Amino acid sequence: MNDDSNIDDRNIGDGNQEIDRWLDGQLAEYAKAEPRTGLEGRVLARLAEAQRESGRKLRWWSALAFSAAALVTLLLVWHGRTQPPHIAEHGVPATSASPQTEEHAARDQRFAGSAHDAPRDDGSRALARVKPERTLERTIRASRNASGASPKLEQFPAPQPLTEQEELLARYVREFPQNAEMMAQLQTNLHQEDEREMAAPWPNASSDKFDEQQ
Amino acid sequence: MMADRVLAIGQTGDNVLESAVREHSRLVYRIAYSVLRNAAEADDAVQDTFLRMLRYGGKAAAIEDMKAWLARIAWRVAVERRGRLTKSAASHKLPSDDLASRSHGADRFLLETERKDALSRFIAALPDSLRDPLVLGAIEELSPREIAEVLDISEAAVRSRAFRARQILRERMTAWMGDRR
Repeated sequence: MNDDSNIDDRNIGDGNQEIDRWLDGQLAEYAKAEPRTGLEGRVLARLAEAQRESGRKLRWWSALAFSAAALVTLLLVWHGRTQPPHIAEHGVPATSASPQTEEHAARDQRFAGSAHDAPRDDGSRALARVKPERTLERTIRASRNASGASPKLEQFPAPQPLTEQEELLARYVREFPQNAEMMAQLQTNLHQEDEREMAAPWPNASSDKFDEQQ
Repeated sequence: MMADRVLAIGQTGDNVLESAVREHSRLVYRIAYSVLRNAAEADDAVQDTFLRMLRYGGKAAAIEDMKAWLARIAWRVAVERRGRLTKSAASHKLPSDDLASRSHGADRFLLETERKDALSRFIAALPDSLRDPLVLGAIEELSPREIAEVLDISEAAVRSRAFRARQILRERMTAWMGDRR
């Protein structure tokens, strides 16, 4: 009875070993599978194609973004022409006119007024004909000085009011911050990609040779 | 591992990608084939794997263990493909090169062919959690630690699952042979 059970155990053990051997053989077939010749070349070619494709897509999107931006800018220009332009809030700082300038202006105005109001004799009439023009020039000069062209400024370089284009750009960024950010990002990406392409040409030809050698 | 790190530090971008293709494409193929058991599908899976690496961009240069990383990606890509194939196929049986190419008519090979067919079916019928450690364990290039990383389980779990898979296959093969007698 014991002998029979031993023989059965041995048979089972042999059977298991045989099955294990088959199993190992089967698994080895999966694990040692060899790819078709030129796998590396095919992969590298596909990657190069994918890179070119992504570059094309990026350019297309950039062009689209720029077109959209140009359209928006044109709309803003058109809108700006139909309405009076908004004066920049951060333009010229309010500079107080010097007391001397104000005094000059006041004196000129007083003088001009008295020239008109005073009774005129012959000499003073001639003077009156000339003086209003001079006083007018002085008044204009004084008012110009008072309105911000003063050479003494608290900040240097003097902050200039934005040009029309800068004003439009600022308005565009204020009103469409996401578009502006996307455009800036796309421009940066495009620039980086161009630099990368210029720096490292893709080695296509060598990969096939490598595979043949393999 | 060290070579991978040197590669990653010394080269960037396209060079890292190209080096990875040259160094690891065979391993990636074997992993994909062990999951898919179809040459054309495995070939596509290799390309998908490296395309994912391309999308990973400059961060690929910072990968410490490129082999393990690629093995994990390859396995995921292959499993995704297997899922799609299984869904699209009318039956749950994957197209298999080794079965199709071995229709020898000779009597001498008949029994062996049938046995291989049966074993292949039984392996395919295993649950994924048991089949993957068993199949990946047969790939010489992958250590148990790397298999554990790929499957995101412990090394002990890899061993116990592979052992359990073998047990099940033994039982099924024994039953199959008993039926044939």
